[in-house]
Amino acid sequence: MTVFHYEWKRSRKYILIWGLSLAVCIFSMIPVYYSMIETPELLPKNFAEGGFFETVGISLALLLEPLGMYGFLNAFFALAGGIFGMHFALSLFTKECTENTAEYLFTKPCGRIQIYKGKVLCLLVGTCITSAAYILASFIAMIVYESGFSMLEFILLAGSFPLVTLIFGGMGVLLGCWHPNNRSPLLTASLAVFMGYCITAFSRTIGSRIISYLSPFSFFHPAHIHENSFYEWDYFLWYVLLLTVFFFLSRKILMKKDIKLAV
Amino acid sequence: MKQAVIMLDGLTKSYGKHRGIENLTYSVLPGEIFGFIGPNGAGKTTTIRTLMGLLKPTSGNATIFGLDCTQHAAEIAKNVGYLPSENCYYNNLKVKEQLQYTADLYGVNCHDRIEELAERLNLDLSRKIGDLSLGNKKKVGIVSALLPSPKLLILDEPTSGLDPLVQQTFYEILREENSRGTTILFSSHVLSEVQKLCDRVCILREGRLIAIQSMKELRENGYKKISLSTEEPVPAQFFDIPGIANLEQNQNSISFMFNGNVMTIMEKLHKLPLVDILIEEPSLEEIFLHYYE
Repeated sequence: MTVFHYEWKRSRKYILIWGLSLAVCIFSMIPVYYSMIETPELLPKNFAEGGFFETVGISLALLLEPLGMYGFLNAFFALAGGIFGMHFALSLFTKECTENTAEYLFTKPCGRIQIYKGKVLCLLVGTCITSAAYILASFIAMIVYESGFSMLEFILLAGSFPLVTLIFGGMGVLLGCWHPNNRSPLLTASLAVFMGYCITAFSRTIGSRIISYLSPFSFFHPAHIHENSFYEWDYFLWYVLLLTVFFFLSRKILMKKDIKLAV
Repeated sequence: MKQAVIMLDGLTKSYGKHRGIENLTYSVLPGEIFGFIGPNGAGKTTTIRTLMGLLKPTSGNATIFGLDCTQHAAEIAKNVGYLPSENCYYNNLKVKEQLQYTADLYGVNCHDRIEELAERLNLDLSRKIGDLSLGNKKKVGIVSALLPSPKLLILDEPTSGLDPLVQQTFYEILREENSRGTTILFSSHVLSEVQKLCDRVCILREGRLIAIQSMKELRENGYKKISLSTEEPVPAQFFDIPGIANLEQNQNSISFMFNGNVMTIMEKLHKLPLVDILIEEPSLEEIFLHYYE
């Protein structure tokens, strides 16, 4: 717990800023976007009927449902969640090398496994706090501006935010352990998340399910959640498997490899 | 016979094509101050990092307190105070917070010890690490290594950046720790520093063990670098005696390395019309180049 305690002290401002920003943004965006579909006939025809909404898993019909626009917005906030998760995880696991503190921390009696656990716990707590802020702000905004929605559907849609954050976090942990002298974690995280978004959009446009397995954004399809009141099972199991592999491999790498020291 | 605190058996670490250390075998006995000397790039830090479990050996093994350094690094670290050669502390923490973090990681309460060591080394606990000079950062490292009162101290180039007064205080602290039974592995490339403190030294060059000598043996092999100038040129054969190496003569100026009975060379020098003379300790590089090649 000592490592977690100090990691938390070092990261809490970063976590709170992210959580607060996400909460403020979703709270202010919900009324703006819902006001746009009060008169759907005024939406540009090409925009409404083109494939854009399908790339984020929403149809025009679903968009007019109480949680349709939230699902659309949530898909984009999931990008922010992914960047937060991956950047935070990468920072946690690369800063000992890039800030030249690895030789201090890794020669203390806590050992590598406790350091790993402390950092992963910090990532989990950070994910929980930012997600709680986001979901709470979403819920309040929805109650205020668009009441009468299905609670289960809302939980599943909003729940995709922490799940996307966590899987990108896991990816960040793996990358951080594998290549700890990464000095551009934000750039890496942004590129990885953007690539994930592009893969999902591409796979949905061409209708390729195999390609969609490559991106976590594909795993949480708003239209499927609306129709079946749960996530797609194959994607869900694939998600759990990927997350397990990310944490298992990263732990193994950290335990086996030489500790990379700053050059 | 006492069980060795540190034992290296054929320890080898290579970084692909790059040389690390090769086949190091030696041991450090309990209560000993063991010097670890060699020029920059000799492999001292690689050896120490392998002992501390940061690097995995390519072959061979190393044990501390009878435990394998790779398998039981965390267990070993409970009784080891480590001072790395480079400053590796959190710049955004205050000195006090950094030292408290060390105490927490060791699971010890040593507030008084921190205060005592900081006072002796004249270290301001309230400043941020990032604002400290190189020497003061080194002091943070020294206090951090000493505060859990470990059974073994591993110090990698501990005095680089310290002013001479603080160095003296540091040597005093080390002697006190040693008198309490602490074993010390002291790495340095400054021969005189090692000579002041150590019981035995291990000399390393290009990743290989050159020799392990007691201080008595090292003093008997007291290499001196002598530079002199004379009123008139000295005959070429004048210094043709055992123990002279690397003789360089430039008109009235001569320099050479001497290893042998001091009276022999003094008698020779006495016969010369000397204008100036400088007798100094040769650098390790000079010793290695001229005596070990």
